[in-house]
Amino acid sequence: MTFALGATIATPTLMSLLSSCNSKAESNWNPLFLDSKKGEVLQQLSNIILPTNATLAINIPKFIDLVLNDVISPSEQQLFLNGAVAFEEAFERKYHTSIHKGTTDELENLLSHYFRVSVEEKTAIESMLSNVQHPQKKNDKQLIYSYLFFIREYSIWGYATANPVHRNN
Amino acid sequence: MKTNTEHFDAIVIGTGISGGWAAKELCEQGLKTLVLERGKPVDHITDYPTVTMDTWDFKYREIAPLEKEKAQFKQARTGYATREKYSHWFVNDLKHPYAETKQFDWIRGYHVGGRSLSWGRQCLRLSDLDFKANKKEGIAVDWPIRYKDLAPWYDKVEEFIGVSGEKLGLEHLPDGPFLPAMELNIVEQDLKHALHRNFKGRHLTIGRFANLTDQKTRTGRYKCIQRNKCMRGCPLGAYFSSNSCTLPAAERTGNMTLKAHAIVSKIIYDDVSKKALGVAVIDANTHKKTMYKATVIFCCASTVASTAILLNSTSKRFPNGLGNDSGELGHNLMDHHYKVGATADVDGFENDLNDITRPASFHIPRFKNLHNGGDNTDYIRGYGFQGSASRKDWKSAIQEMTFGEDLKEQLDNPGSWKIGLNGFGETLPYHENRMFLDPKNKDEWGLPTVNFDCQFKENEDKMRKDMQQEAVNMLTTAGYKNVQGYDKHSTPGNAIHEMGTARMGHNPKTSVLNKFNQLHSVPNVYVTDGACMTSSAYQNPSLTYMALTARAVHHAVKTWKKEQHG
Repeated sequence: MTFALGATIATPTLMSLLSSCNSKAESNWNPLFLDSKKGEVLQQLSNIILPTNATLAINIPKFIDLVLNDVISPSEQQLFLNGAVAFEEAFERKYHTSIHKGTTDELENLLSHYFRVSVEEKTAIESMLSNVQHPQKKNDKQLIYSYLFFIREYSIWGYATANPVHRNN
Repeated sequence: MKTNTEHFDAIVIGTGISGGWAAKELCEQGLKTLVLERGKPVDHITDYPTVTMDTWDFKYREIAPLEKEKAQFKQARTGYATREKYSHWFVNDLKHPYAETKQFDWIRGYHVGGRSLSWGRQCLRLSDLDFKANKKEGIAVDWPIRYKDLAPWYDKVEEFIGVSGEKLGLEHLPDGPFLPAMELNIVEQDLKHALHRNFKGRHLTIGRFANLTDQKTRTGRYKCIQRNKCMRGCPLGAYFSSNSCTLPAAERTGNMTLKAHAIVSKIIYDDVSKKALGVAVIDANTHKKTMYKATVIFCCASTVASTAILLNSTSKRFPNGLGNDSGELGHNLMDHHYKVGATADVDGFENDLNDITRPASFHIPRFKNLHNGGDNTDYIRGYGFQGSASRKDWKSAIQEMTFGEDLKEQLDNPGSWKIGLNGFGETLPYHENRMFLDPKNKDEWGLPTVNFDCQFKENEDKMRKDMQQEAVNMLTTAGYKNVQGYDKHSTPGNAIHEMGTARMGHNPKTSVLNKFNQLHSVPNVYVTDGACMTSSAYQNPSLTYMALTARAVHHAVKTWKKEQHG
């Protein structure tokens, strides 16, 4: 099956979407670095950022989790985790429900809020992120953008370096 | 220390680009030759572990895991040496430490073939503009050779290794017997024509690369199919390396004994004959010490390693290092400065998809300070550019904020054309730029480690400003969009063109080597790697090391034969 998202499907919750997918595709990817709940959110975000196919819908978040585990430094790992928490809190503020009970539409709308910005805003965001601070001292906006950009960057990496056999199926 | 009873006619220290040439030439001319390599053996093809792998075959998809970044934290300064596909060609910095009074990126590999496996393959001749510059400007000391001394050796080397390229007829960048040139793509051709139209004396040509582009039969080597994965080792032997070319040639003579895991700790001097007797070797694995004797010694361990061996070869006659009467050993360390230039976007060629995986960049040869009186620059010497034009790849998408189907479409379609110029500039030989041994800090074999004290100075800084300005100027004049100049700061060593430290010269009081690369005071020791360079020029230097090595071997063999019959 392909991983249809957004307006093309009725709005199942993240968990139900995952379980329906997992029953047919590879179901047992156990994150190395993230806990299973954060792994599920990562998978959802990665698939909204870069919609692919059933194989890559699993392989790309697995790759991102591997990068989190083996490639980046402990302080970058902490930055990612803090970003995940800040993003979950932002979701709850907006939809008054846990991110794990939210719908993909809601998640996509929240992503749009952060990603669909003007050129001026994009420049301001880049400037804000280049202002290096200790992860603990970053504000929520910095944490969320660090988190989302990380997922976006390594989703692209995972997709572009995937075996074309998997990419084209 | 045990003494090996077998007497060799020659010993070659090192198996990289210079050592491989010394081995081939000595063996082919009939000398029983012991070739010593401090690192592991690497057989052509069978020991290229990543040669057939695709990106998705690598666990980390070519990103370096943290563990590797930590173990190779200095090699990582290249930006690529720690990637899974190459990292086995670069040393573990924890096992092979060195100190930096000032930052110096000593990027190297310890294995048979050395950096001839990972080199850039760009082959540019030096000219009399370079050989005469020190004398003309009163910088350091004069080169003891001129272009005519080296020209036949450049011919010999280029004919053997195979260099593809275009003849330009430039006096300051002499042509060779080139194989067919690789092709410029449509955007590169556009810039070439723009330079010809708008700038007098500026040329854009395909780089001169040691990749075979003809069908001529060569033992174990075949035409390049442009995989553009050269640094992993080539299964076709299509690019030149010691492993595919010179060492097999030496092996075929039956005169070579190749010993890996053999660390030369010093060259042993004999007060009676006033020559070197042989070398002391430490087995890298067992730490056992053995002395090997030979009539002639070729020191080709690389710029820094050769000089480290000489500095460590102290005796009553040479308390400051073998052949170091001048006090110049370790000094005048140079590299090229680079990572400065410009990039631009290019419109108008959207229908051309010829974004080929060509293993070569284009080259804009030096155009500044070519003639007497110079160009009124506030610096001396010059620089060239290397670059390429290509379709933007997926990495450019990382900088943006698209997502969903927009992002997928972006990744699935060719991006717009972009072009980039990267300058390579000459560095002057400063006496105070040096490497030296630190006897207090020893490595696991009990050998003193190296410390670097080297920096680029005012002449290089001023040149860089001009490099950036001219790169911007050329791309702007060509009519390209979003022209961005850059200067990413270049640290000494990072271009991996380190040279100097045992310079050639006429005078034993001010130089270490004579015009045949012999130590002035120990004539049976030749140093023919980058250590011998009297100035850096701007050209990629490996071709010159090979030509100097072939020439020095010719001299050594002539002397050896005279002694045999005398």
